[in-house]
Amino acid sequence: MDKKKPEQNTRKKMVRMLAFSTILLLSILILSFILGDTNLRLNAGSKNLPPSSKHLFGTDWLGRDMLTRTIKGLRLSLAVGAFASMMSVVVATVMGTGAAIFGKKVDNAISWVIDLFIGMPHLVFMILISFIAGGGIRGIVLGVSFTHWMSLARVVRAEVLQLQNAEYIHISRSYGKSAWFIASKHILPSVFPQIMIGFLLMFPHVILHEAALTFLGFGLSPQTPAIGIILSEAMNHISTGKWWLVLFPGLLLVIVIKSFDNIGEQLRIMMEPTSSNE
Amino acid sequence: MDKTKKYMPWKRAMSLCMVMIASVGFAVAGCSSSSAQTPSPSSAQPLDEPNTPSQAAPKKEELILAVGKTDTGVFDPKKGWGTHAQIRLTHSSLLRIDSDMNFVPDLAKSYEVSEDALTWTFPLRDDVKFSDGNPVTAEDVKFTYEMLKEDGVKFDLSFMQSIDAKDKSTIVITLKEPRSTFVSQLTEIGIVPKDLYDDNYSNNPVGSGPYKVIQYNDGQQIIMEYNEYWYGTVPQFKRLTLLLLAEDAALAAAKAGEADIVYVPPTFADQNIEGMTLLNFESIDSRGISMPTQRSGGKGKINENDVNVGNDVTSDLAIRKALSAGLSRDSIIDIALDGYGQKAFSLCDYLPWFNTETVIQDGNIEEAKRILAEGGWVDTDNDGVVEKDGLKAEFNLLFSSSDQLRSDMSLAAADLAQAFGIKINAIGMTWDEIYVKGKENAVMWGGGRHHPHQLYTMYHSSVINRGYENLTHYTNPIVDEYLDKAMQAPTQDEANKYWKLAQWDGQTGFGTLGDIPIIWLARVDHLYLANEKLDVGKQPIHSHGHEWALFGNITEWTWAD
Repeated sequence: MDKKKPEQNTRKKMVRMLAFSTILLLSILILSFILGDTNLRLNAGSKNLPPSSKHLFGTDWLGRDMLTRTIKGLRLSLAVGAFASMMSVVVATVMGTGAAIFGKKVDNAISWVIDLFIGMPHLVFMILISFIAGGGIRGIVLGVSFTHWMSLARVVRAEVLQLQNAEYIHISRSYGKSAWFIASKHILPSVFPQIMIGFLLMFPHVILHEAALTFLGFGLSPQTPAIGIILSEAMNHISTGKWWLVLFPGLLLVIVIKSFDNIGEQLRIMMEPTSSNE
Repeated sequence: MDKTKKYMPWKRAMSLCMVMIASVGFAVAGCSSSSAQTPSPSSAQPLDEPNTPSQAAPKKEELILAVGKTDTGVFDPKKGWGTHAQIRLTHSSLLRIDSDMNFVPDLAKSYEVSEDALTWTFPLRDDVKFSDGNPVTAEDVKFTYEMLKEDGVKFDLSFMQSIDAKDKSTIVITLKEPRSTFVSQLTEIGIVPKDLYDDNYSNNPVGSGPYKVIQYNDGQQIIMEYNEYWYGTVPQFKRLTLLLLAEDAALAAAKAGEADIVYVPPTFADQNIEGMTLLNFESIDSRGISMPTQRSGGKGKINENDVNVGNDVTSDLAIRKALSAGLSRDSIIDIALDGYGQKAFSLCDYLPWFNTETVIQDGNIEEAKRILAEGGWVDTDNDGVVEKDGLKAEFNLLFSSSDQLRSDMSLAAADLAQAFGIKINAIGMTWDEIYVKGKENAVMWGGGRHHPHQLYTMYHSSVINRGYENLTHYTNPIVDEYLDKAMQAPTQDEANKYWKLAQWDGQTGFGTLGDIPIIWLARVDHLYLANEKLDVGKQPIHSHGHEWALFGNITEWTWAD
């Protein structure tokens, strides 16, 4: 009895945290559609206002409401982040499965590529790719997705290798099932949770890097309300004491990222057989 | 419009680092030069000054300036040194402009123009020496002008027939045809020494200005020292350190007491820094929207690259007129410049060649709507944007994303244009990209000089496809004729008459009443935060480029102890 109670509490706590993070993200998403564009109109009368009840996050140097800008910026970052993570998950899955299935030579080649990519400094590589891709959202998505797939690819590879030697796969094969059947009916369902969690854990990483890239000025045009751009613009004004331009968008970015990280982490713990009963 | 600055994404990080490096640099420099009795550069420490009470307190002889990223075309006229009025510190020219915008002698003792305005004679001063001690002779002048004429890129001297050194101290220039703007070029071309000039001149500049360059760190700082052979008024300041800092880093330097004068953008103007005051200088540094005047589908060149030309929306006169009349220039100045600017209706507002008839009443939304309706632009589908024959009144406005001012002005213009149903998409880009797409989209353009030559290069049809001149491909034979006449006028008065007619002659012109290929919006005030002890003398109205505009009268600057 004594033992059970705290266990249940951890589990409950886990669910609570998960619910909290999900609600927070959903509310940001919903809010971004509710808040109108009129708050983004330029207004000489309401320039540089510190936070107040009317403008919760204050206004910027052109009189635009920072709350609206931040929320809309986060929506864009989330969208770009989701897309880029999806892309890198696809790359990771293809590479990981490929390495596991197509024999020693391919495995060596892919492992070599993975090592190569991991060995390169992340940010520099991203800047390079997004620059080659011509900047813009496309550049960011490509840059981010081609630099984030490696660790997940390794997990997938290991997982598939292990599964291939599992007995039920051998049996299935001896029944004459095709490679495609085995891959889609046996392997994929077992690997899917890994991929899903990999996706969720990659998400915050990707958003951070997307923000970093736009902060440095690669990719999006400055009037796009992306969170990285909001932060980099605010840099010009922080020296004049307009702290709210940096603080609130930065804080919200951290919270969003932490929430995603939280969701991914909780799901991982719950799904992993060894730790799910904790 | 001649910012060739590349887009530097990491400039913010860099500039922060640079402040740190620079401040360390000062500390070191301060130590090493302490034996030379000059007050330590970081004059924020008053401890250094009253060292020996018996001696009169030494006058401040060193200035630290952070007035912008000032190093385009450094020190070499062939690379453009002089096109932004940079030369006054390091070089001297035949003539110069004084604080009241008069042409006064510099190297030349006087000048004489023949009746037909084709022969210009300049007796030269014979007491002028380069900073290496060698005299400046007529041969050096001849060499400089011939070299630039042959090069023909930064200075157009093709109208020059010949330049001769009649004797050691007389220069005679013969022109193929009269050229009214030639006199301005005489103030812009810095004379270089014939014997020392080569391709490496940038790294080893020798000129005859009040200062000589003793150190130049690419993109970081320029250190200049008084040229003891200088023939003019001895300046109070014997050493200038120009920190090439971005705006926020410059402000930080000012706050730390590390700079005596810094350039500030309007958004920083409300900063109170102890011991510093805000200097505000009116300028003819204008910003406006260049609107492609041709219909889409054409081909052309910008800076020798093949590009598409034309835009179906901006080429419609009603659109341009509606924007010029409907955009409230005051609102744009309030939003983007915090009020530190003046309305602009042309590239040359209130200069002697400005046609005052072209001052219009702006910010008139009803008028803009009327013009649009008359031009056939009506909002039929109630989406707030007017259409004509199924074409929406929507166009892209490109601006340099590294330029906060242009970016804010573009956003403000886009915002205001909604009121009368024109949709402007403001898009930030690097200059490299703008120089590809700038002829099929509107661009937040800029310019403004102490002379009218830019009117020619921005509006004459013969310069289409040369560099980024006449970006809008504006073609009007009548305007061309006026511009030609203005260029070839033998006297300034006659030239000014034709410059004015080109803007508006009652029927046509490129001004606000005519075709308006470029919708000028605002003249930007040049703002500096300067130590309150520093007196920068009487400044002429500033031209485009806040960096060097300040130094025209450097020898008059004083420091009140």
